[in-house]
Amino acid sequence: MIGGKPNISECERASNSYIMSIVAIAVGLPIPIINLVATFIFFLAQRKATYFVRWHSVQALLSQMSLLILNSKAWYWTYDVVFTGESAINNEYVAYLIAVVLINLVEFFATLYAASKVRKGIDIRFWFFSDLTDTFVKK
Amino acid sequence: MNKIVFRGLILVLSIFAVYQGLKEIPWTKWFGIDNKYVKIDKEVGDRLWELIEKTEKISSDTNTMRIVDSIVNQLIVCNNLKQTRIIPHVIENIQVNAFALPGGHLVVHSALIEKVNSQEQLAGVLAHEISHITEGHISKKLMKEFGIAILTGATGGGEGARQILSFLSSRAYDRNLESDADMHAVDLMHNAQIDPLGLSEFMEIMAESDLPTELDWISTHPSSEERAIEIKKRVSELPEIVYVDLKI
Repeated sequence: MIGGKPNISECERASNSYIMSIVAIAVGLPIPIINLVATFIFFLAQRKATYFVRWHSVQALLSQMSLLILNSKAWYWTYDVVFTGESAINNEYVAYLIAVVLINLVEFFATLYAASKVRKGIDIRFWFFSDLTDTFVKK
Repeated sequence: MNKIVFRGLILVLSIFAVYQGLKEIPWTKWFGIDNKYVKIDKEVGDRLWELIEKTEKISSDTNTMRIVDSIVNQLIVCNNLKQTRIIPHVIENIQVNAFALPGGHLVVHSALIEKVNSQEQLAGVLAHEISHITEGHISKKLMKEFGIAILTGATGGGEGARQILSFLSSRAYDRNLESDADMHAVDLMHNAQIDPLGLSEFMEIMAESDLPTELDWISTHPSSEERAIEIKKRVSELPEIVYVDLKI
Protein backbone atom coordinates (compact mmCIF):
# COMPACT_ATOMS: atom_id res chain seq x y z
CA MET A 1 0.00 0.00 0.00
CA ILE A 2 1.33 3.43 -1.00
CA GLY A 3 1.81 5.56 2.10
CA GLY A 4 -0.30 3.46 4.48
CA LYS A 5 -4.07 2.90 4.48
CA PRO A 6 -5.79 5.96 2.97
CA ASN A 7 -9.05 7.36 4.30
CA ILE A 8 -12.22 7.66 2.16
CA SER A 9 -11.51 11.27 1.22
CA GLU A 10 -7.99 10.43 0.04
CA CYS A 11 -9.29 7.49 -1.99
CA GLU A 12 -11.82 9.73 -3.70
CA ARG A 13 -9.28 12.41 -4.49
CA ALA A 14 -6.76 9.89 -5.83
CA SER A 15 -9.46 8.24 -7.91
CA ASN A 16 -10.54 11.62 -9.28
CA SER A 17 -7.13 12.13 -10.85
CA TYR A 18 -7.91 9.17 -13.14
CA ILE A 19 -11.52 10.28 -13.64
CA MET A 20 -10.19 13.65 -14.77
CA SER A 21 -8.39 12.08 -17.71
CA ILE A 22 -11.41 9.93 -18.62
CA VAL A 23 -13.71 12.94 -18.64
CA ALA A 24 -11.29 14.85 -20.83
CA ILE A 25 -10.80 12.04 -23.32
CA ALA A 26 -13.71 13.07 -25.54
CA VAL A 27 -12.10 16.47 -26.03
CA GLY A 28 -8.61 15.04 -25.84
CA LEU A 29 -8.87 12.89 -28.95
CA PRO A 30 -9.24 15.77 -31.41
CA ILE A 31 -7.10 18.12 -29.31
CA PRO A 32 -4.58 15.87 -27.54
CA ILE A 33 -3.15 18.50 -25.18
CA ILE A 34 -6.52 18.90 -23.39
CA ASN A 35 -6.15 15.49 -21.76
CA LEU A 36 -2.80 16.37 -20.35
CA VAL A 37 -3.79 19.88 -19.29
CA ALA A 38 -6.83 18.55 -17.41
CA THR A 39 -4.75 15.96 -15.59
CA PHE A 40 -1.98 18.48 -14.94
CA ILE A 41 -4.39 21.02 -13.42
CA PHE A 42 -5.70 18.31 -11.15
CA PHE A 43 -2.13 17.35 -10.25
CA LEU A 44 -1.32 20.97 -9.34
CA ALA A 45 -4.39 21.13 -7.16
CA GLN A 46 -3.28 17.98 -5.35
CA ARG A 47 0.42 18.73 -4.97
CA LYS A 48 0.06 19.48 -1.27
CA ALA A 49 -2.17 16.46 -0.66
CA THR A 50 -1.10 13.25 1.04
CA TYR A 51 1.45 10.93 -0.52
CA PHE A 52 -1.28 8.49 -1.68
CA VAL A 53 -3.20 11.19 -3.53
CA ARG A 54 -0.06 12.80 -5.02
CA TRP A 55 1.29 9.45 -6.14
CA HIS A 56 -1.86 8.56 -8.07
CA SER A 57 -2.13 12.06 -9.55
CA VAL A 58 1.40 11.73 -10.92
CA GLN A 59 0.80 8.22 -12.28
CA ALA A 60 -2.34 9.47 -14.05
CA LEU A 61 -0.37 12.46 -15.40
CA LEU A 62 2.56 10.40 -16.68
CA SER A 63 0.35 7.85 -18.41
CA GLN A 64 -1.43 10.73 -20.14
CA MET A 65 1.89 12.12 -21.37
CA SER A 66 2.60 9.03 -23.46
CA LEU A 67 -0.82 9.39 -25.06
CA LEU A 68 -0.14 13.04 -25.79
CA ILE A 69 2.86 12.14 -27.95
CA LEU A 70 1.02 9.40 -29.85
CA ASN A 71 -2.21 11.38 -30.28
CA SER A 72 -0.36 14.52 -31.38
CA LYS A 73 1.42 12.60 -34.10
CA ALA A 74 -1.93 11.16 -35.24
CA TRP A 75 -3.46 14.63 -35.23
CA TYR A 76 -0.70 16.29 -37.28
CA TRP A 77 -0.55 13.37 -39.69
CA THR A 78 -4.32 13.68 -40.23
CA TYR A 79 -3.93 17.44 -40.72
CA ASP A 80 -1.35 16.75 -43.45
CA VAL A 81 -3.62 14.22 -45.12
CA VAL A 82 -6.75 16.35 -45.05
CA PHE A 83 -5.51 19.92 -45.41
CA THR A 84 -1.99 20.15 -46.84
CA GLY A 85 -1.77 17.05 -49.01
CA GLU A 86 1.76 16.43 -47.71
CA SER A 87 0.69 12.91 -46.78
CA ALA A 88 -1.67 10.49 -48.45
CA ILE A 89 -4.02 7.95 -46.91
CA ASN A 90 -1.70 4.98 -47.12
CA ASN A 91 -1.26 1.76 -45.17
CA GLU A 92 1.18 3.37 -42.72
CA TYR A 93 -1.30 6.10 -41.86
CA VAL A 94 -4.27 3.75 -41.36
CA ALA A 95 -2.13 1.34 -39.31
CA TYR A 96 -0.94 4.21 -37.11
CA LEU A 97 -4.49 5.47 -36.53
CA ILE A 98 -5.67 1.97 -35.59
CA ALA A 99 -2.67 1.51 -33.27
CA VAL A 100 -3.39 4.85 -31.59
CA VAL A 101 -7.09 4.03 -31.17
CA LEU A 102 -6.16 0.65 -29.64
CA ILE A 103 -3.66 2.24 -27.25
CA ASN A 104 -6.22 4.90 -26.29
CA LEU A 105 -8.77 2.16 -25.60
CA VAL A 106 -6.29 0.22 -23.44
CA GLU A 107 -5.43 3.44 -21.61
CA PHE A 108 -9.12 4.29 -21.23
CA PHE A 109 -10.09 0.97 -19.66
CA ALA A 110 -6.93 0.85 -17.54
CA THR A 111 -7.72 4.33 -16.26
CA LEU A 112 -11.34 3.38 -15.60
CA TYR A 113 -10.19 0.27 -13.74
CA ALA A 114 -7.63 2.24 -11.73
CA ALA A 115 -10.22 4.88 -10.83
CA SER A 116 -12.66 2.30 -9.48
CA LYS A 117 -10.03 0.34 -7.56
CA VAL A 118 -8.26 3.37 -6.09
CA ARG A 119 -11.63 4.70 -4.95
CA LYS A 120 -11.89 1.54 -2.84
CA GLY A 121 -8.41 2.15 -1.47
CA ILE A 122 -6.77 -0.55 -3.59
CA ASP A 123 -3.45 0.38 -5.17
CA ILE A 124 -3.11 0.05 -8.90
CA ARG A 125 0.36 0.22 -10.35
CA PHE A 126 0.68 0.71 -14.13
CA TRP A 127 3.54 -1.02 -15.92
CA PHE A 128 6.52 1.37 -16.21
CA PHE A 129 4.53 4.48 -15.18
CA SER A 130 4.34 3.32 -11.56
CA ASP A 131 8.14 2.91 -11.45
CA LEU A 132 8.54 6.33 -12.97
CA THR A 133 6.08 7.76 -10.47
CA ASP A 134 8.09 6.25 -7.61
CA THR A 135 11.11 8.27 -8.68
CA PHE A 136 9.18 11.54 -8.94
CA VAL A 137 6.95 11.40 -5.87
CA LYS A 138 8.71 11.46 -2.54
CA LYS A 139 7.05 10.92 0.83
CA MET B 1 16.70 3.15 -12.62
CA ASN B 2 17.68 0.17 -14.78
CA LYS B 3 14.25 -1.33 -14.15
CA ILE B 4 12.55 1.86 -15.38
CA VAL B 5 14.69 2.02 -18.52
CA PHE B 6 14.09 -1.66 -19.21
CA ARG B 7 10.33 -1.42 -18.74
CA GLY B 8 10.18 1.81 -20.73
CA LEU B 9 12.06 0.14 -23.53
CA ILE B 10 9.72 -2.86 -23.47
CA LEU B 11 6.72 -0.50 -23.63
CA VAL B 12 8.12 1.48 -26.57
CA LEU B 13 9.11 -1.71 -28.40
CA SER B 14 5.66 -3.21 -27.80
CA ILE B 15 3.94 -0.16 -29.27
CA PHE B 16 6.36 -0.23 -32.20
CA ALA B 17 5.72 -3.95 -32.74
CA VAL B 18 1.94 -3.40 -32.72
CA TYR B 19 2.34 -0.63 -35.30
CA GLN B 20 4.66 -2.71 -37.48
CA GLY B 21 2.25 -5.62 -37.32
CA LEU B 22 -0.73 -3.45 -38.25
CA LYS B 23 1.26 -1.97 -41.13
CA GLU B 24 1.53 -5.39 -42.72
CA ILE B 25 -2.24 -5.61 -43.09
CA PRO B 26 -3.45 -4.15 -46.43
CA TRP B 27 -5.91 -1.70 -44.86
CA THR B 28 -6.19 0.63 -47.84
CA LYS B 29 -7.00 -2.31 -50.10
CA TRP B 30 -9.57 -3.65 -47.64
CA PHE B 31 -11.24 -0.27 -47.29
CA GLY B 32 -11.01 0.41 -51.04
CA ILE B 33 -9.13 3.65 -50.39
CA ASP B 34 -6.60 3.05 -53.18
CA ASN B 35 -9.31 2.65 -55.79
CA LYS B 36 -11.21 5.66 -54.53
CA TYR B 37 -8.10 7.86 -54.78
CA VAL B 38 -7.32 6.63 -58.28
CA LYS B 39 -10.95 7.20 -59.32
CA ILE B 40 -11.01 10.77 -58.00
CA ASP B 41 -7.63 11.48 -59.57
CA LYS B 42 -8.87 10.14 -62.90
CA GLU B 43 -12.13 12.10 -62.73
CA VAL B 44 -10.35 15.38 -61.96
CA GLY B 45 -7.73 14.80 -64.66
CA ASP B 46 -10.26 13.83 -67.32
CA ARG B 47 -12.34 16.89 -66.52
CA LEU B 48 -9.29 19.14 -66.89
CA TRP B 49 -8.28 17.48 -70.16
CA GLU B 50 -11.82 18.02 -71.52
CA LEU B 51 -11.37 21.70 -70.73
CA ILE B 52 -8.06 21.78 -72.64
CA GLU B 53 -9.67 20.05 -75.61
CA LYS B 54 -12.32 22.75 -75.72
CA THR B 55 -9.94 25.69 -75.45
CA GLU B 56 -6.72 24.55 -77.15
CA LYS B 57 -5.84 23.16 -80.54
CA ILE B 58 -4.70 19.55 -80.37
CA SER B 59 -1.66 18.83 -82.52
CA SER B 60 -2.40 16.96 -85.71
CA ASP B 61 1.28 16.30 -86.43
CA THR B 62 1.33 12.50 -86.47
CA ASN B 63 5.11 12.34 -86.65
CA THR B 64 5.49 14.39 -83.46
CA MET B 65 2.87 12.29 -81.70
CA ARG B 66 4.65 9.12 -82.81
CA ILE B 67 7.95 10.36 -81.34
CA VAL B 68 6.33 11.41 -78.06
CA ASP B 69 4.38 8.14 -77.78
CA SER B 70 7.50 6.12 -78.55
CA ILE B 71 9.58 7.85 -75.85
CA VAL B 72 6.80 7.65 -73.26
CA ASN B 73 6.26 3.98 -74.07
CA GLN B 74 9.97 3.23 -73.69
CA LEU B 75 10.02 4.99 -70.31
CA ILE B 76 6.90 3.09 -69.17
CA VAL B 77 7.99 -0.36 -70.33
CA CYS B 78 11.57 -0.16 -69.05
CA ASN B 79 10.45 1.13 -65.65
CA ASN B 80 7.57 -1.32 -65.10
CA LEU B 81 5.02 1.49 -65.08
CA LYS B 82 2.39 -0.34 -67.11
CA GLN B 83 -0.01 -0.16 -64.16
CA THR B 84 0.29 3.62 -64.07
CA ARG B 85 -2.05 5.60 -66.30
CA ILE B 86 0.06 7.90 -68.49
CA ILE B 87 -1.55 9.53 -71.51
CA PRO B 88 0.64 11.90 -73.54
CA HIS B 89 -0.95 14.80 -75.45
CA VAL B 90 0.60 17.43 -77.72
CA ILE B 91 -1.19 20.75 -78.12
CA GLU B 92 -0.44 23.63 -80.48
CA ASN B 93 0.89 26.40 -78.29
CA ILE B 94 3.67 28.97 -78.74
CA GLN B 95 4.77 28.80 -75.10
CA VAL B 96 7.55 26.38 -74.25
CA ASN B 97 5.80 24.30 -71.66
CA ALA B 98 4.91 20.82 -70.48
CA PHE B 99 2.84 19.79 -67.51
CA ALA B 100 1.16 16.82 -65.91
CA LEU B 101 -2.47 16.66 -64.86
CA PRO B 102 -4.14 14.29 -62.39
CA GLY B 103 -5.18 10.98 -63.88
CA GLY B 104 -1.91 10.62 -65.81
CA HIS B 105 -2.51 13.23 -68.52
CA LEU B 106 0.85 14.52 -69.74
CA VAL B 107 0.54 17.66 -71.84
CA VAL B 108 3.37 18.94 -74.05
CA HIS B 109 3.23 22.21 -75.99
CA SER B 110 4.32 22.09 -79.63
CA ALA B 111 6.74 24.98 -78.98
CA LEU B 112 8.67 22.83 -76.52
CA ILE B 113 9.06 20.06 -79.07
CA GLU B 114 10.33 22.59 -81.61
CA LYS B 115 12.74 23.96 -79.03
CA VAL B 116 14.54 20.70 -78.20
CA ASN B 117 17.71 19.80 -80.10
CA SER B 118 17.48 16.08 -79.53
CA GLN B 119 15.01 13.43 -78.54
CA GLU B 120 17.01 12.84 -75.38
CA GLN B 121 16.16 16.39 -74.31
CA LEU B 122 12.48 15.77 -75.04
CA ALA B 123 12.73 12.47 -73.16
CA GLY B 124 14.18 14.43 -70.21
CA VAL B 125 11.14 16.70 -70.06
CA LEU B 126 8.74 13.78 -70.48
CA ALA B 127 10.52 11.72 -67.80
CA HIS B 128 10.39 14.72 -65.46
CA GLU B 129 6.63 15.09 -65.93
CA ILE B 130 6.10 11.33 -65.64
CA SER B 131 7.93 11.51 -62.31
CA HIS B 132 5.44 14.10 -61.08
CA ILE B 133 2.70 11.60 -61.94
CA THR B 134 4.31 8.50 -60.46
CA GLU B 135 5.48 10.24 -57.28
CA GLY B 136 2.02 11.68 -56.55
CA HIS B 137 3.29 15.27 -56.72
CA ILE B 138 0.19 16.56 -58.50
CA SER B 139 -2.34 15.57 -55.88
CA LYS B 140 0.04 16.72 -53.12
CA LYS B 141 0.34 20.16 -54.63
CA LEU B 142 -3.35 20.44 -55.44
CA MET B 143 -4.33 19.47 -51.90
CA LYS B 144 -1.87 21.99 -50.52
CA GLU B 145 -3.15 24.80 -52.72
CA PHE B 146 -6.86 24.08 -52.91
CA GLY B 147 -7.42 21.85 -49.86
CA ILE B 148 -10.03 19.15 -49.54
CA ALA B 149 -12.34 21.11 -51.88
CA ILE B 150 -10.30 19.74 -54.78
CA LEU B 151 -11.99 16.39 -54.32
CA THR B 152 -15.41 17.80 -55.06
CA GLY B 153 -14.87 21.12 -56.85
CA ALA B 154 -12.74 20.15 -59.82
CA THR B 155 -15.00 17.40 -61.10
CA GLY B 156 -17.85 19.88 -61.30
CA GLY B 157 -16.03 21.90 -63.97
CA GLY B 158 -16.45 25.66 -64.42
CA GLU B 159 -14.27 28.26 -62.79
CA GLY B 160 -12.76 25.85 -60.27
CA ALA B 161 -11.44 23.55 -62.99
CA ARG B 162 -10.06 26.53 -64.93
CA GLN B 163 -8.22 27.74 -61.83
CA ILE B 164 -6.69 24.32 -61.26
CA LEU B 165 -5.67 24.01 -64.89
CA SER B 166 -4.06 27.43 -64.85
CA PHE B 167 -2.28 26.54 -61.61
CA LEU B 168 -0.96 23.21 -62.90
CA SER B 169 0.16 24.57 -66.25
CA SER B 170 2.01 27.54 -64.77
CA ARG B 171 3.49 27.49 -61.29
CA ALA B 172 2.89 24.06 -59.97
CA TYR B 173 5.64 22.68 -57.77
CA ASP B 174 8.04 23.81 -55.11
CA ARG B 175 11.78 23.29 -55.17
CA ASN B 176 11.76 19.98 -53.30
CA LEU B 177 9.21 18.37 -55.58
CA GLU B 178 11.00 19.64 -58.69
CA SER B 179 14.35 18.30 -57.49
CA ASP B 180 12.66 15.03 -56.58
CA ALA B 181 11.13 14.81 -60.07
CA ASP B 182 14.52 15.57 -61.64
CA MET B 183 16.21 12.76 -59.73
CA HIS B 184 13.44 10.31 -60.58
CA ALA B 185 13.55 11.40 -64.21
CA VAL B 186 17.27 10.59 -64.32
CA ASP B 187 16.54 7.09 -63.00
CA LEU B 188 13.65 6.57 -65.40
CA MET B 189 15.81 7.60 -68.36
CA HIS B 190 18.76 5.52 -67.23
CA ASN B 191 16.54 2.44 -66.84
CA ALA B 192 15.15 3.08 -70.32
CA GLN B 193 18.68 3.37 -71.69
CA ILE B 194 18.08 7.01 -72.64
CA ASP B 195 20.93 9.42 -71.87
CA PRO B 196 19.76 11.32 -68.74
CA LEU B 197 22.00 14.25 -69.60
CA GLY B 198 19.30 15.20 -72.09
CA LEU B 199 17.37 16.73 -69.20
CA SER B 200 20.25 18.91 -68.04
CA GLU B 201 21.01 19.90 -71.63
CA PHE B 202 17.43 21.05 -72.11
CA MET B 203 17.54 23.18 -69.00
CA GLU B 204 20.78 24.77 -70.07
CA ILE B 205 19.20 25.67 -73.41
CA MET B 206 16.21 27.17 -71.65
CA ALA B 207 18.39 29.15 -69.26
CA GLU B 208 20.20 30.74 -72.22
CA SER B 209 16.95 31.78 -73.88
CA ASP B 210 16.12 35.49 -73.85
CA LEU B 211 12.58 35.30 -75.10
CA PRO B 212 10.05 35.62 -72.28
CA THR B 213 7.53 33.35 -74.05
CA GLU B 214 10.09 30.59 -74.08
CA LEU B 215 10.77 30.66 -70.39
CA ASP B 216 7.55 29.19 -69.10
CA TRP B 217 8.69 25.68 -68.28
CA ILE B 218 11.93 26.74 -66.65
CA SER B 219 10.82 29.97 -64.94
CA THR B 220 8.40 28.12 -62.72
CA HIS B 221 11.07 25.73 -61.51
CA PRO B 222 14.16 26.17 -59.28
CA SER B 223 17.34 27.63 -60.78
CA SER B 224 18.14 25.78 -63.99
CA GLU B 225 21.92 25.92 -63.53
CA GLU B 226 21.61 24.49 -60.05
CA ARG B 227 19.33 21.74 -61.28
CA ALA B 228 21.58 20.92 -64.22
CA ILE B 229 24.50 20.50 -61.81
CA GLU B 230 22.46 18.23 -59.55
CA ILE B 231 21.31 16.14 -62.50
CA LYS B 232 24.89 15.75 -63.78
CA LYS B 233 26.00 14.76 -60.29
CA ARG B 234 23.27 12.14 -60.11
CA VAL B 235 24.15 10.84 -63.58
CA SER B 236 27.82 10.50 -62.59
CA GLU B 237 26.76 8.22 -59.72
CA LEU B 238 24.94 5.81 -62.03
CA PRO B 239 26.63 2.68 -63.37
CA GLU B 240 28.02 3.20 -66.84
CA ILE B 241 25.86 1.76 -69.62
CA VAL B 242 25.57 2.34 -73.35
CA TYR B 243 22.60 4.58 -74.05
CA VAL B 244 20.36 4.03 -77.04
CA ASP B 245 20.54 6.68 -79.77
CA LEU B 246 16.99 7.99 -80.11
CA LYS B 247 17.50 9.61 -83.53
CA ILE B 248 15.02 8.24 -86.00
